[in-house]
Amino acid sequence: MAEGLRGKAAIVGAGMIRFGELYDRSLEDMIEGAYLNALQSVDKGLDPQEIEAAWLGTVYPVGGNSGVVLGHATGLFEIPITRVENACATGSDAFRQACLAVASGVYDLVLVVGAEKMHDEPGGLIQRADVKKLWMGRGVTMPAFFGLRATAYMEKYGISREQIALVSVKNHKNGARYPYAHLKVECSLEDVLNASYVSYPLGLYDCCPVTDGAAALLVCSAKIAKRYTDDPVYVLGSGLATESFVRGGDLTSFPATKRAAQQAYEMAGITPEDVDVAEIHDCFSITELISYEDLGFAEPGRGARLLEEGIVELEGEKPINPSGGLLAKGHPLGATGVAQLVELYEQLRGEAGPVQVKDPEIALQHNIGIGRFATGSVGCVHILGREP
Amino acid sequence: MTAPEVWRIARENARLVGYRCTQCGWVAFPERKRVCKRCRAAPADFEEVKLKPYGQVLSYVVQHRLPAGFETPLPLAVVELADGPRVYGHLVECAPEDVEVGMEVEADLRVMYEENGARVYSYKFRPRSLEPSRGGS
Repeated sequence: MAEGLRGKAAIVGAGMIRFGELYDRSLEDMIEGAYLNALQSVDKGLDPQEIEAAWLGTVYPVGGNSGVVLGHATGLFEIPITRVENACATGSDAFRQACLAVASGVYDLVLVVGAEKMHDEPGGLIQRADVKKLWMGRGVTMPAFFGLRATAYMEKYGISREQIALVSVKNHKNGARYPYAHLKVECSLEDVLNASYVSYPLGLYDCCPVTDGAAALLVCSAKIAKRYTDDPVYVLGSGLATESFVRGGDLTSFPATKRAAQQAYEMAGITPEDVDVAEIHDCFSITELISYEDLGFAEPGRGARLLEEGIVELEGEKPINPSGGLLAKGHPLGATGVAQLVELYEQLRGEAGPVQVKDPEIALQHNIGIGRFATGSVGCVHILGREP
Repeated sequence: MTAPEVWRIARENARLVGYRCTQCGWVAFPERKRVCKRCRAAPADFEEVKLKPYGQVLSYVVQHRLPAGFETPLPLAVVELADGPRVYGHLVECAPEDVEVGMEVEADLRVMYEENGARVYSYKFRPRSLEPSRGGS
């Protein structure tokens, strides 16, 4: 059996910029900012000359269709730079590729950047619901793709709109405290329920905003991690899978998440109960609820209990999305997965400031992508720990 | 969609033709396949099926935010056709508040859009009537 990834790669630096509508910053400016913050976060310092390879996760071709924009933003020319794209799981997959390269022994120290300049992309996501499509994705926006899950979920399990809305309330409460969040406003249950519909049953507060952002990680071989910090964060497991609802199954779960989680848990040798804190994909409120179940934190149809009982609150037993998640922090596609990992790196090191949870040892990161004109999905899961 | 994309699935689209995997029974639609994306048979044996023009709403939303070219509010569903394929479809002749999960719907050929002066047709779905459907088989 293959050896897997556990204990072979470590994160020794992490940085991001504050997400938002960053009209005054280009894609390169954002990458540069995240890169500098990651470099400066390294406890014992790191010379850029030591970086042997880099991965850039970005979806829109705002910076051209290659990894070269990362070279321009960082000056890291003459080393391999690979651009990764895998829908909204792009940043996570870029990190995954970097981990695999380090674990293989080919490189000792590499850079991962996720970035997205959403406001330089004409049209935006709603425009992608092309009127001129037959059968695939016609009129299907991302709010619709996830709204279809919300309708099916409420119907199958008898869950109310109010129960789904609790996700938005919790995440905006956390986001209001998180330094890097795009939206720093709390919202009440009534705000969520009274907001205008985007794609019924989902309203405005059920949807993440349109956000620019970038995040960066420095990943090295676990063997040399202590060269850079006495407190590295180790990669324990990684999983990625794809699925499509046209193959069958009901619309109340994301099988790609289940498979990716299974791969990551097995690789890490842990169970869902061992996870102390998680950043999970909440592009829409319903996505977080369903993901509790796909990740094994709740039985099917019982995810809302975690919210009602306060288990997933910042002060709860298993805090989820202390950063405010995509709903509050924002969802710059390629940056999202990397930013989730930046947040968990800080959580595990006790550096998360106003959103720090109590003494986490093991963290889980989860990212979903939707592809092929809303007929397929990608799930990606990583597990991080304080010990290899 | 570009003209070649429409042309590639023209027959399947206009006549509701699918292809059933003889190994697992999964039906490919509208694209003609040589491998089965459910059971992974490669190559798979597919037999042509004339799809029954009706099915059930698996789930739905009512779209309120869409680009120009759509009328909102638009009820939009994932429909599972009686022979198995799952497709996205717009619901017509049905008020948004009357749509339900499990609702029986039938396919009705409509003009979807015009491109370079040519009308492109495809199916929308409406509540299934008790009378035999016009497209019937």
